[in-house]
Amino acid sequence: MITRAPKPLAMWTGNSALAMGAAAAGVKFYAAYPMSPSTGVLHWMAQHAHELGIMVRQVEDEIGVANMTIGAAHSGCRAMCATSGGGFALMTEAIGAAAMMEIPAVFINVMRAGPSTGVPTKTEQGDLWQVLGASQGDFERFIVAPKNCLDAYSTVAELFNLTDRAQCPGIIISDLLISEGTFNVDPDLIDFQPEIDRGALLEDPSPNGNYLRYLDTESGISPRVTPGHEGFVHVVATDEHDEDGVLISDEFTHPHKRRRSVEKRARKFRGVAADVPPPTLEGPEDAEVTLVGWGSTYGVIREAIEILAEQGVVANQFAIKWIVPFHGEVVDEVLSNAKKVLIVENNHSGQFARYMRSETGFSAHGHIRKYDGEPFQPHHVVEGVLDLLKSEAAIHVPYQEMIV
Amino acid sequence: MSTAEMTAEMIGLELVQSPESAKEFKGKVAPDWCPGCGDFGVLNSLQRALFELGLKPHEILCVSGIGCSSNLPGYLNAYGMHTLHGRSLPVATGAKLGNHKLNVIATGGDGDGYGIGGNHLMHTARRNIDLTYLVMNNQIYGLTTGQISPTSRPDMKTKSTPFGNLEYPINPITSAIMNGATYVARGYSADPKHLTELIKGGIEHKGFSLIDVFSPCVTFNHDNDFAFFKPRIKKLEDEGHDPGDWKAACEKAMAWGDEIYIGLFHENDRPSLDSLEMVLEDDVPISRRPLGLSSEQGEKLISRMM
Repeated sequence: MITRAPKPLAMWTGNSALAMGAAAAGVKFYAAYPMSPSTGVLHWMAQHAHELGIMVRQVEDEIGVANMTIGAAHSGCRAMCATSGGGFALMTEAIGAAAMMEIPAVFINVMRAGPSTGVPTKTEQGDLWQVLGASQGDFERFIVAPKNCLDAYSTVAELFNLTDRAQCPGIIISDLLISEGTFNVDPDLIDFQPEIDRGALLEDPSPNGNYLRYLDTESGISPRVTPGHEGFVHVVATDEHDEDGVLISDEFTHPHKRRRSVEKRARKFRGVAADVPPPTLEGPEDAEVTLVGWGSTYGVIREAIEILAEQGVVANQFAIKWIVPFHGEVVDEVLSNAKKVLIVENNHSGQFARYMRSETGFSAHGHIRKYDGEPFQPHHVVEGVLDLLKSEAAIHVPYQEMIV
Repeated sequence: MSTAEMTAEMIGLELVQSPESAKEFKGKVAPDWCPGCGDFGVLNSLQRALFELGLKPHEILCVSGIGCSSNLPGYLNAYGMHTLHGRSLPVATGAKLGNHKLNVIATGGDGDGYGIGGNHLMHTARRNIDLTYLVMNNQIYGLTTGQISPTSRPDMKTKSTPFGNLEYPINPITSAIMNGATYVARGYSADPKHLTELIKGGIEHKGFSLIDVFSPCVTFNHDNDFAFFKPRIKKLEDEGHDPGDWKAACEKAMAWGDEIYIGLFHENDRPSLDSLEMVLEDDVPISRRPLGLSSEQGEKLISRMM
């Protein structure tokens, strides 16, 4: 009998997947300040900088990192940076600057257990509200939490297309589990030529003598020209500005122009965000339990559902990847039809549960939460489901076995 | 009479703007600086310097932070970025690395560059990236209506130091030299001819150039105004100073009494970051290169993961 050798699999970590995804997306500028558990992205980038023609810089602090990334992005590069929660806190003012100047750039927060220095080598999903609240003011940006390593890889190009089209910042939320975890992957699943859509970036423009960087268009998207092109000289500003980039913030602040600028930025985002696919229910529709997770809990919930099936409990999964745009109506509709909704998340206060409720008005029936620094294992979720099915408790906190 | 002309008359400076340079580099709007503000002389000298170097507006990117002087890019006909308070240098660095063909000039004030952005100045200097940084130093926070700045002198009374400043000021010249800047100069906004030459030298210099400019705030700093500087200002070139001698440069930069020096303190030819960076060996700016990976590059990456 001839046995077929199993197909050889490749190995990678989430950080190398994020970095490789960036290279495939056309990132030409990467900056970072070392911070666990995001440093692996910097190492991959530095190692491949010459081979792939990527400018990689280690900068004095994350404030410098974020601002340098924005400068490179303004010159026309696809530019990206990654950090963890503490560094992300330092980057936040710059994220708002990118939004105001309408410069697309991608910022990654690889979460570790906080607050403050916290537990640098342990995982948590505790930065959701930090990311949602990153930077002062009321502005538009994409926020996405990839579900696993391969998803992290392809999300980078996907997000760059969205940020280029909407000319705004985008944030990826990863965590130690994905980023420092080592995973197998079928090499055929890695697409090295993802679609690249740079939106309204004019790469070889011919001047018509009347260029307005922030032209108020129907879509809200203004044709973008980067510095260096003759006949398109303009100033971008973090102060509120008119269509031509001239400040309207000093002396006399024109209320009608301010309103127009705010609405223009919101409109362009709304239009592009409409193309982001809504989450889908995975598994049997008439399940007894619907497990909702966000980001990195996807795989462990899937395994837990298999174990539950063996024990006669039919469960399905509603995994959320896109935090902004959040598909509130879809989420509400799906969950309103579910029998028992349990939210699984790696933090104490139920950050996602509160966010989902704010966007949908839907309150989950129960919660499985873990905040001991270790990721969920499938049996933790299984025990949580069984407990919450039979008891009236609202929250189950799994017991983490000591691994010494 | 424009505010610029009024200012020229008030402080008796000779504007160096010619009709040709004004036509080329005058921005969309006129400065809203106070009449008599030193920044008029700096803007004027910068426009003149750009014109004399034969540069075109689209070849220039002027990046500023926040403050009175950081409004400058709006008054200059060139590509501009009016960024966050203190962050002009990292933004300018990113833009220069993204398109190293651009002439990138960072502008701002002493609070912006030596206070909130002080860390970036130190590191941009040691990096020696090819930028020209023009700091309009008025030794006061003007936009916020008069508080001490990192270059305010001891005992100075301001709204935030009603009993006198207890802190010692930063010396931007010695700091920049110590941290590795390769062109370090000081100008005076009431001497725009001299300042124009310093700016031209900074732009032509390959590496990081700091040009600190005494640019008095006539509204909020009555200690260090034009009347203070006029009798004290001495030019290094009249003293036979050798810019290659960094120790002598530091000694001259520390002088703050009857004599205060302006001119080129220090210059050296340490290679700039952008000239050392292998990724920029290909002459095409990285922002103008094709995006993505080839199949061969992808296969190579996969082979290392097996």
